[in-house]
Amino acid sequence: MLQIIADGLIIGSVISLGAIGLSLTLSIVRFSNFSHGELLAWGAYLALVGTTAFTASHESLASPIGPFSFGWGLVISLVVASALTALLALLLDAILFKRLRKQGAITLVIASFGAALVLRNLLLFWQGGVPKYYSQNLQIAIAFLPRRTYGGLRFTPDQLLVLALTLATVTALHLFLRYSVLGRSMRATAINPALAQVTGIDPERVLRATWLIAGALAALAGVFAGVTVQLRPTMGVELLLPLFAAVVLGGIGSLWGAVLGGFIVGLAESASVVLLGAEYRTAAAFIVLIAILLLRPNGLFGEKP
Amino acid sequence: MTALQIDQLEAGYEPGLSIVRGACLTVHHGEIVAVIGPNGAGKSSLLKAVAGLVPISRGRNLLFGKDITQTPAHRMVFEGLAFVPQTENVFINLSVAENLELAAAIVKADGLEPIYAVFPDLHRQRANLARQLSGGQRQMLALARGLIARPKLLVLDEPSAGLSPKMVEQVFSKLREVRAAGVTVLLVEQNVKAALALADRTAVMLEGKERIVAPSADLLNDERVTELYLGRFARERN
Repeated sequence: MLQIIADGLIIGSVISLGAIGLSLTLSIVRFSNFSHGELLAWGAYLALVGTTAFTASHESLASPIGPFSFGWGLVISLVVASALTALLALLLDAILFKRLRKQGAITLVIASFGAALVLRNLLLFWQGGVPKYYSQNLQIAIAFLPRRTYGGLRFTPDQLLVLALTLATVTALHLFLRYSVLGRSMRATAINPALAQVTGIDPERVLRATWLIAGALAALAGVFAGVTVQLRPTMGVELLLPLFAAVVLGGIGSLWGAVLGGFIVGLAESASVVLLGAEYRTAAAFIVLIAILLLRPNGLFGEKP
Repeated sequence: MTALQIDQLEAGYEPGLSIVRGACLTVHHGEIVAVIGPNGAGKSSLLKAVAGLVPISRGRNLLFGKDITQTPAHRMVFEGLAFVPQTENVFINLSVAENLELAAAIVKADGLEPIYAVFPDLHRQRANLARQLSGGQRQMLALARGLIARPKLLVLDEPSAGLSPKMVEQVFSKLREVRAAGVTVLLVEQNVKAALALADRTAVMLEGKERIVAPSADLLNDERVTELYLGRFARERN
């Protein structure tokens, strides 16, 4: 029982970070970006390429840090991959979405489907379809509670780090959105773009910041997925529906809504694997989504229009 | 000195479909000028075109002699023009303080004390979300947000919309204070009596263009105003 919750929190960490970026683009750029999942996959693979390159040039970077399965090579690569994925998101906007913005949300959604296909297949062509790992080191889960206590509770050090970094990232983002001028400008633009403009907020600057943050968070989520599970070129599209479920569940435009939505979807997936079987994993998330939307049509933290 | 000169302005949301059709209006420094007219006359579109929110296809706008025709909406506040929209004129999911702090930070204004001194009620409400404010309080917040930038020209779209007569008087009283502080005011109003009582001069708009521009006192009993509102003018033109 407790292990289901623990596993749900780990899956939820990945979904939450991805869902925040998706929620930001949905509320500020104002369209459902179906290529967002591919940013997760690209972020994960860019970190893999970086790790391979760094550890090839400096062998010491491959040695595991403390109890974790990876070395400093992945840590440095994570930072580089986040920056590169942020730039990839910005590039995608500059060459595609920006040009189509005046055509309306439907055009942008269709364009994002196309972008997703291109990004996924480029990744497949570049990295192949075989699952990959950041490290071949095996990790032994640490027992926090014995089996006799509600089935026991075990975490690997990597999982605990992912959970801690997710909470730290979300807190930092909360402080940024709450107290910085750019963060408040982003919230203002999400609420009322025209009013934001007459207040003196440059809409293009806000959009650029949104893409950069969404891209960086996607990379972080992708790397966390790679650390806790594995890397596959299709990981983006596999995570896309849970990401959307988390955003809608939490309430579009709400940071904490996306986080809570992510954890709820993660818990639903984790419970369904044990209780119903892995094939019902995605369905379980959507059953929870439908149930919550019936009670709260704007999602858990959705702001009324 | 001319604060705003609107010259042969044509503007509209869709290309080839002008709502403002050759409007001309001069607003002098220190004046309050009201724009009135029946629904669909293009009053709000005229103001939005001046504020950079509606594309301009012809003509030009000069703000204290500087051409601002193609200035983007987000740069207007730095040129000295603050626009207060009719509805959705505050960030409803931000607190009162966040609304004002954001506006102040954008234009690098020195603190909120001067604004809270003019709007003491907003200071009391500063921790509340803007969505929790009454219509009148929201209008005051919108006005305060516009004034933070210390504009030379304050442009307001129907500041009395949806307010009780008592609140309308309070808002208009603030506008008189604003003018006394040296800020030029251009506003669109549906409340004709209130507009004529407030403004030094009034423009009556019909079909996207001003038809009469005169001192407000002269328009109080002007039959042409009544005719414009009743549509006779339009029928005669056809």
